[in-house]
Amino acid sequence: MKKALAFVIMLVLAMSVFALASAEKTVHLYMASDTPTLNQHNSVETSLDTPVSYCGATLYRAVADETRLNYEYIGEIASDLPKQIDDLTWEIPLRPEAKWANGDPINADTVMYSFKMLLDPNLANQMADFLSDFSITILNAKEYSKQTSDAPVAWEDVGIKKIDDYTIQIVTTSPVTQKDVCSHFTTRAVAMVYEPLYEQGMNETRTSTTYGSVPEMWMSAGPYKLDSWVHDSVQTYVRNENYWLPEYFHYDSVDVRVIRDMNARVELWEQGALDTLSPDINTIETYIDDPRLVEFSSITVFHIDVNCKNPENPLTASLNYRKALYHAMNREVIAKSIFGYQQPSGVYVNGQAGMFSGQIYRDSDAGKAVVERVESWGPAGYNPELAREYLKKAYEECGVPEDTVITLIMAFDESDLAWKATAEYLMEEFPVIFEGKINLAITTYAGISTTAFKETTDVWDLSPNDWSRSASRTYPYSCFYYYRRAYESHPNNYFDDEFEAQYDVCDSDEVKADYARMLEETAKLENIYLDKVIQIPMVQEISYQMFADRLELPVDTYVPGFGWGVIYGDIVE
Amino acid sequence: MFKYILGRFGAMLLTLFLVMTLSFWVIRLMPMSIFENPEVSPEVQHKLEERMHLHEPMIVQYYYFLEGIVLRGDFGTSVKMRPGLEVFSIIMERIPPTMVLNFFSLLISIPLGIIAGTVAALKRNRWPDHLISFLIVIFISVPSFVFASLLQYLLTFVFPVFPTLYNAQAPNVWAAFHSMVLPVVALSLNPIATIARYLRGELIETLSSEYMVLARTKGLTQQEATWKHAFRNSLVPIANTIIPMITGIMGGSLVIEKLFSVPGEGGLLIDSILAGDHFLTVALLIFYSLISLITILIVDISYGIIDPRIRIGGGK
Repeated sequence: MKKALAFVIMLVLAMSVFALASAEKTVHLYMASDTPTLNQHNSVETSLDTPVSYCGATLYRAVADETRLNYEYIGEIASDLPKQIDDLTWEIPLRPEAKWANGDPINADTVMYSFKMLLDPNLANQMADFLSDFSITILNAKEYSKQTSDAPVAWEDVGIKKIDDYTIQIVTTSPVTQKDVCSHFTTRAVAMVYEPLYEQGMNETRTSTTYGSVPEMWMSAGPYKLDSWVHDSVQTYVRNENYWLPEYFHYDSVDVRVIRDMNARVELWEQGALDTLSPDINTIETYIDDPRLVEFSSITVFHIDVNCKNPENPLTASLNYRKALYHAMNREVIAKSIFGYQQPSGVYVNGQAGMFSGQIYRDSDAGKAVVERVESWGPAGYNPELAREYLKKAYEECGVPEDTVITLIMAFDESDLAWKATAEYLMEEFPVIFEGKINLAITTYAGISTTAFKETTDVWDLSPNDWSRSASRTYPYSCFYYYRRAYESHPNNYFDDEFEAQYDVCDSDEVKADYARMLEETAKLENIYLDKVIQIPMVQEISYQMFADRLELPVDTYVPGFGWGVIYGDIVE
Repeated sequence: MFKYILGRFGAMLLTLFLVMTLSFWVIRLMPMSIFENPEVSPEVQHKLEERMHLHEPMIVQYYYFLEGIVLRGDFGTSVKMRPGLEVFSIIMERIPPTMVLNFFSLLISIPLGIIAGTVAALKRNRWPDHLISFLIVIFISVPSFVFASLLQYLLTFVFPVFPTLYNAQAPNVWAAFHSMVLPVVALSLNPIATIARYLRGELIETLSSEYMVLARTKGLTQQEATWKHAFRNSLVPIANTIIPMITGIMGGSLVIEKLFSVPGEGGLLIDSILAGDHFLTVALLIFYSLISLITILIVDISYGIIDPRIRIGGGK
């Protein structure tokens, strides 16, 4: 009897060990909303990052280095790092072993077709700029894509050439570094597309393609292949047996659920059914002391646009009035209490700006000097005394009698609860700070964008905004891109010649080739921005993230430009 | 009868045309560029707008819209939610999960509602009636998402009996059904209460009518009189509430589907409006209108069959 019992116990133990040893390593992730399409050429939605990073292939990939504190570039489709031929010309060798998930080869023709289609002027792909002008500017790429110049630009004139079956050549408009080239070819937009399906989905006029609209119309080439996609519900990826760099990837499968409801995410996280969780404003309080919680600055600085053309506001065109508003914002309260554990910011260049170029602008001496200037006025620029002084000057400047009470209008999307609470807070604060001279009223809109709202009326004074520019990760100054006359869909109507001239200096080839100088010039630009109050910076967004204990990440800390490298993680039960 | 049905059908088509026109103008007049996005250059935005005829005057756009529907049955292509896919195929893709959930919801709502309403009426002013009436008030007045959240918290987190989310890739029927239980229950509470409330009222009125007294004096037992006369007569007005429920099963529930991550019709309309996917929004509005109009048509026809006076009156 005892022998039989011992045998059964041994059998159960052996089976358990076998079961553990053969357990499939599945990582459980989530998205707040599904990707509209898998066609990486034509969707600006960041939700597309997940399927393309797991199942797509680009020329280069960023992987964690040995220190676990930084990252390096490796060739994915490229067999080696780009080789510089002259100041503007680079050659990228390709791997002969690179294949699609169905075994078809990936070669220079694949790369040329993918890039040509991305820039195709007829297709007008929304992500075309990510190839033509992102970390590097490719010769004639934008001109070909937009066809805005007088003389048509042919594909043959674009600085992307096939040298042989396994080499392509890139010609830039200004000198760039090897890292810039690698960085340029890692974004999802420049992942390869599968020509047979891309062509199959093309309409008669070749102005659109259904490539990537359904799983059957998309081809994987990355470390994983798309196993299933139920739109708005789940995506699953399994290992791609044809992938040529399997040693960097450790999961057997990836399960990505679309979970719109935050409570459901928290419940699944607590049950251990999710390996990551990004707490939001409402849930961060619960996890703020959790040792698993990690944080990092995002690319977004929430800010307020100031109208300088409100016909009903006598101060609307006054610089002193804008300065008064800048100093009247108690960003500490707004960032920490209203937005929820966010960082007050009296400056506009975001905490990730410059990270692809070797140094984050905000960590540079030039960037720090601007922050010091702002702090000299008060915490994150908040200084009620200064605000009153500037308002008094504005009244004098505009000839407004001292006893005039002005009601400003703050217009925002009513579904944005943080801004709604901010507006309500400012409604109470402004009369106190400005001793009853300035009141705040609220106007809300829904279902239309802020820009669309502004097209309907000039009767508004303050308008919250969160526009951010991805390219600022490479060129810090470019976060001001939208606040120039040249940007047609600008969210603001205040333009300043000095500001624009300095932007042009930053954007010149000379400055682009010298990052140290770019930091200095960006600081000058940011100082002009503050002097002229182009808009009012409020809150640097801080992203919070939690990882399950069973998930082993490739880095020990958040690495700007790389993140946490969840794709390279491993499951350690 | 044929003329009556033809008349109702003609009215339905006319109404549908008006709805299509109104939907088009209301949505397209929203001051927003479909392709507006700071990451997309204005040149590309203009080009995309030209391709969709969005740069043309509204009346011309309306012509293209009608031409597409009438000549090709083409409601347009999604530009934001599922770029490149025809909006009709998007709507069709979303119907099955919504339909299954709502079908099961009806399957339990109708019998449970009828049982609850009957018991409440027969035990009028006694504790079962009070209990059922109390629950009816709760289920009708408290929004279904409150119950859904409560059920989700209690039965997936505190007592993990059911999965938190709907399983769209269930490996077998049992797993699929298991993941549907909570959304189905959450969806059913309101319909159960609605049916029970109507039936209770109707049955109480019928039970106290003169023909019920006559039936008893003829020698029928209370049970026989209730079943043969009161219950059947009371069900006729209930059809007025049940038929819309049946046709509404394709409409979906915005909040329940969101809470349980059901990839159904529910949130599609709101999402498309917020995303500025005007082609999909207009198609969805037409789709929902069509469902409502078909419901009304079925109710009208069934009334015409049940009560000939209605179709005669309609004919005059």
